[in-house]
Amino acid sequence: MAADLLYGLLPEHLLLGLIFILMLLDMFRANRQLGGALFAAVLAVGSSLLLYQLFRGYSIELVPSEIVIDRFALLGRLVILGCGLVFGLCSLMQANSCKYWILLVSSLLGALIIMDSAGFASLFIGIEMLSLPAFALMVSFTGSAGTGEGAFKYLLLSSVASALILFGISLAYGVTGSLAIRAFAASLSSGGVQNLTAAFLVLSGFFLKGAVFPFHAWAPDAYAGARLQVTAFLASLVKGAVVLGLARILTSLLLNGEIVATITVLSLASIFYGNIAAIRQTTFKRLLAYSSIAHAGYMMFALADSTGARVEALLYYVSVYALTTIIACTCFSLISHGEGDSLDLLDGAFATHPVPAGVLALAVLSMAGIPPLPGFLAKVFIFKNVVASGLLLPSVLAFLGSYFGAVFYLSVAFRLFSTAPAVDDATGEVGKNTAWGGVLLGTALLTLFTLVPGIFNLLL
Amino acid sequence: MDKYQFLTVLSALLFTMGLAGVVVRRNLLVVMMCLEIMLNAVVLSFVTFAVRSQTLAGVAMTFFIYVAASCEIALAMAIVVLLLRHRCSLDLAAHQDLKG
Amino acid sequence: MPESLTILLLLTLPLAGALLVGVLPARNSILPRIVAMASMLVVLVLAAGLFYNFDGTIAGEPLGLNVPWIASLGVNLHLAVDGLNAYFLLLTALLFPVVLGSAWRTREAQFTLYLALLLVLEASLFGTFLAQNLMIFFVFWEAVLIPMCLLILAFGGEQRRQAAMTFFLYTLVGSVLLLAAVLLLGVEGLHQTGRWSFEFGHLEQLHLGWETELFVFCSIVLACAIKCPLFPFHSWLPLSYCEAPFSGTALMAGVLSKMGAFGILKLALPLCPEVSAVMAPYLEMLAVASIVHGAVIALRQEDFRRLVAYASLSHMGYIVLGIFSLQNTAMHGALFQVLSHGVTVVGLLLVLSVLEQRLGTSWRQVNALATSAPHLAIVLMLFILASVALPLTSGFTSEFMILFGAFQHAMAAWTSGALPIQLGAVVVAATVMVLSAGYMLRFGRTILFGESSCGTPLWDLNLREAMVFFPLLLVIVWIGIWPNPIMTRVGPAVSRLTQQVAGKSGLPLALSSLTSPDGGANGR
Repeated sequence: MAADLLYGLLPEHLLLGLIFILMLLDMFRANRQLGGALFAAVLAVGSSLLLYQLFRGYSIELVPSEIVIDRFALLGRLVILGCGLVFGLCSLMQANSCKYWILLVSSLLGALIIMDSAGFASLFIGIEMLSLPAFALMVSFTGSAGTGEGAFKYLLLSSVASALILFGISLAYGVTGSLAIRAFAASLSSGGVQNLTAAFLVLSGFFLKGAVFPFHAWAPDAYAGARLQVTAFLASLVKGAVVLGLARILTSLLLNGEIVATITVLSLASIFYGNIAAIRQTTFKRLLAYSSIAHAGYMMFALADSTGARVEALLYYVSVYALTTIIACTCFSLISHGEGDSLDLLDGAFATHPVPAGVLALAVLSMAGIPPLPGFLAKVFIFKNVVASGLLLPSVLAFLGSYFGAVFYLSVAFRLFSTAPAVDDATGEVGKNTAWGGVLLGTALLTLFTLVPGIFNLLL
Repeated sequence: MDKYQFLTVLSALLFTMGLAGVVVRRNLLVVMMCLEIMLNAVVLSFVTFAVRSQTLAGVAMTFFIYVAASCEIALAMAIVVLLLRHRCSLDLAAHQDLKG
Repeated sequence: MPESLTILLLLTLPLAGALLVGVLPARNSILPRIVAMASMLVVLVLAAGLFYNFDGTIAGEPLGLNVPWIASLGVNLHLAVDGLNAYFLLLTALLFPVVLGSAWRTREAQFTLYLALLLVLEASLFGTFLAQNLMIFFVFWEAVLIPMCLLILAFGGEQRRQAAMTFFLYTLVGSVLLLAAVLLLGVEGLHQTGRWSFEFGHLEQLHLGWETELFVFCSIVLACAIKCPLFPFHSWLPLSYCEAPFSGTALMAGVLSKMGAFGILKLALPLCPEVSAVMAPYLEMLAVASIVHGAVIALRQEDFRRLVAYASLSHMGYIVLGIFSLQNTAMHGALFQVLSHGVTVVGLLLVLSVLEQRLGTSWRQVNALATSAPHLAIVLMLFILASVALPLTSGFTSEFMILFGAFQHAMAAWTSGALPIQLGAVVVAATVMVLSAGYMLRFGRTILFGESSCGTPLWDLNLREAMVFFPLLLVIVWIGIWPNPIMTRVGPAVSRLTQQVAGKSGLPLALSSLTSPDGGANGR
C-alpha cells in the first residue's frame, strides 16, 4: 500500500521533496540559478514519469473516493507539469531568490492535487494550495504600479470564491452524505432544489476564480498590479488549473437544461465582454487580463456540450492557451526589457527584435484563432462539440465574439510590423537568456499540438 | 421545523450576511471578518449535514477549512500591513490606484 | 515520381525555402533572392509536370496526398489535382516566379521577410487549391490572410496600416460564417452517417434540409464574394490594391481573387446543388452588377492603379457569371477567364511596376511611352488588347465562351417559361464589353501616346524584365489560338459538376450538355 501511494503520487512527492530542498538552499543562501535548475530538472523528471505511467496504462484508486489516478489525472498533471516547465525556463533569469521557486512549486503542487481528486476534500485542498502561494507571489513581486492592492483584491475575491465552492459542496454533501464527486454527479442528474443550488454555487465559485463574466472585475486590476511573470503565471497556469478542476468535477456529465443555459449565456457574455473591452486597452497586462476573460468564456463554453468529448477539448484548449500566454508574455518582456507595460513599446519591434516579435505575432494570432495555428484547432474542438450538441445559435454568436477578438489581437500583431524593417539584421541577442530555451520548448510543444491535434484523443 | 433545517437555514443566513458584508463594507479588517463569517457558516453547514447523515466526512472537512482559513487570514493581514504602510488608511476606497 | 510525393513537395518546398531565406544574412546579398527564385522555379516545374500528367479522367476519389491529421474528426491532409483546380495550380505556380522576377531590384526584395512571406503565401495558396477536405480547405483559406496582410503592412504605402486592417477584418467576416457552415456540414455528416468526416466526397453525398443548405450556400457565397470581390462587397478593393506594394497587388489581383471563384466552384456548387440552381439567376445579376460597376468607375479613373483595380473587379464578374450559368461552355469560359484574367491583370500591374521602378514617384505622369520605350509599349499594348478581349487573345476565348454559354442557358430558361432576367443580364454583360474597351484604350492612349512631358530618359525593357513578361504573353496567345489541349484536361470535371447541379435540381439534362467539351469555340 505504501509503495502504491508513493508510486501513484510520485510527481507530488517529487515536488514536495523539491520544496524542502529549496527551503534548505534558501537557508544557506545558495545561488538562485541553482533553484531554477533544480526546478526544471524535477519537473522534467515528473513529466517523463507521467508519460511512462500513461503508456503503461497505470490506474489506481489510492484513497477510496478521494484520490483516484485515472487517465484524466495523468493527462491533467502532465499538462500542468509541462506548462510549468516551460514557464520556469522562461522566468529563470528573473527569479530573485529561491523563495520564488518555493512558491511556484507549492502552487503547482496544489494544481496536481486538483487533478488527482475524486472527492471534494482533496479538490478543496488542491484549490487552496493553488491559490495561496499565488497571493504570496503577487505580494512579494509587485509590479511598478501595485502596492499590494491588486493582491488584496485577488485574495479577497479568491477566498470568497472558495467559500462559495465550499458552501455548494456542503449542500451536495447534505444530499448525498458523502464527499465523493461521483455521488454528487449521480444525484445531480436527478434534479432537485438542493442539488441545483449546490451546482450553481460551485459553478459561481469556479467562475469567480476563473474570472468569467459577471465575476470578472478583479482580473484587470489584479493582473495589472503584479509583475509580468506573475501575471503570466496567473493567466496561464492558475486559470488552466481552475478550468481543469471544473472539468474534473463535471467530466462527461450530461448537465441539466438550466445549468447548460446559464453556462451558455454567461460564457457568451464573457466572450463578448472580454473581446470588446480589450480593444480599448493600452497596456499589455490589462490587455492580457481581458483576453483571459474571453478565453475563460471559451473554456466554459466547452462545458455546454453533451457529446462527451468535452474533457479532450478542454485539455487541448488549456494546454494551447497556457503555452501561448506564457510565450507571449516572455516575448513581450524580451522586447520591452522589463521597462514598462505600454503597448507602444511594441511599435515597430520587428525591426529591432525580429525573433521575439515574430514569435509574439504568431502567439497573438494563435490566441485570436487564425488557422493553421493551434489556437484555431482548439476553438474548433470546442465549437464542434457545441454544434453537435444542437446549440447552433450560441455557436454562431460565439464565432461572432471571436471575430471581435481578432480585431484587437490583430492590432497588437500589426503594431509589431508598423515601421519598415531596417536592412541590417538584428544584433545577436539569442543565447544569453534562458528565456529563449523556454520559448523554444513552448514553440516546439505548440508545433506538436498543431501537427498532431488528436494527441489527447489518443492518450485519453 | 426540525433542528437540521433550522441549522441549515441559519448557516445559509450567516453565509449571505458574510457575502453582503464583503461586498458592502469598506474597512479592510471588517471585510476579512465577513469572509471568516462566511467560512464559519460553511463549517456549520458541514457539521449539520454530518450529524444528520451520521458520517464523519463533513467533520473532517472542518479541519481542512480552518487550516485554509488561517492561511488566508495570515496572508491577508500581511497584505493589509503593506497597504497601511503605503496609505495610512484602512479604507478600501483609499487604495484605488489601479482603477482606470 | 508518385503524385503524392510531388504534391508534398509542392507544399513543403516553399516553406523550406522560406525558412532557409529567413536564416540567410540579408546585407546586400543576392543569395536570399536566388534561393527564393530557385524554390519557386522548382515548384513551377513540378506543377507543370503535374498539370501535364493529369489526364482528366475521374476515377472515384482523386489520388494524391492523403494523410490523416485529426483522425477523430475525419480531417485528412488530402491534397490532389482534380479537374477543377488544375488551372489554378498552374496559375499560382506561374505567377510567383514572374512577380518575384519583376520585383527583383525593388527595395522590398532586399528584405528576407518579403521573400519568406512570398514563399509562405505560395504554400498556403497551393494548399487551398489542392485541398480535397473541407476543413483543410478552410485552414489554408484563412492561412493565406496572414502573409498577405504582413506584406501590405510591412512594405506598403502611406495608409498601409488601415489597408491591412480593412483587408483582414473584411475578409474575416466571411470566414467566420464559412467556419460556421463548415462545422454545420460536419455535424450533419455526423448525424446522417454516424461518423465525423470533412472529405468532399463524403459531404457531397449528404441530404441537406433546405434551410441548412441555404445557410451553407449563403455563407460560402458571402465569403467568396468578399474574396473575389463581387459587387456590394468590394469596398476593401481600392484601398488595399493601392496601398500594397506592386507585387502584393499583382498577387492579390492575380491569384487571391481567384480563390473566391474557386470556392464557389469547389464548395458552393457541389455541396448545395439545389440552392445553387435556384439562386443562380440572382447571382448572375450580382455578377453583372459587378461587371457594370467596375467598368463605369474605371471609365472615370485618372490614377492608373485604381483603374486596373476596378478593371479587375469588372473582369472577375465575368468569371462568376460564367460559373453561375451552370452550363458547360460557360464554365469552360470561366476557367479560361481565370487563367486569362490572372495573367492579364498581373501583366498590366507589372508594367506599371516597371514604370515605377524607373521613374520613382512621378510614374503617374508618364506618357509617350511608345516613343521612349517601344518594347515596353508593345508589351503593354498586348496586355491591354487581351484585357479588351480582342480575338486571338485569351481574353476573347474566355469571354466569348462565357457569354455564349450564358446566353444559351438564358434562352433555354426563357423558352421554358421563366422571366427573361438572365437574358437581360447576359445582354448587359455583352454590352459592357464596349465600355471595357473604352477605359482600357483610353488608358493605353494616355500612357503610350502624346507629347513627352517628363525630361528623364526612360530605359527600355531589359532582359530580366522581358523574361518576366514572356510567359504571361505566351499564356495569352496560347489560350487565344489553341485552347483545346488544355481544355480536355478539365472537361470531365466540368461536365460532372454541371450534371451534379442540373441533376439534383431538375433542370433538363440536355440543356447543360449543349456543347460537348471538345467542340471548342476557337473563334467561331
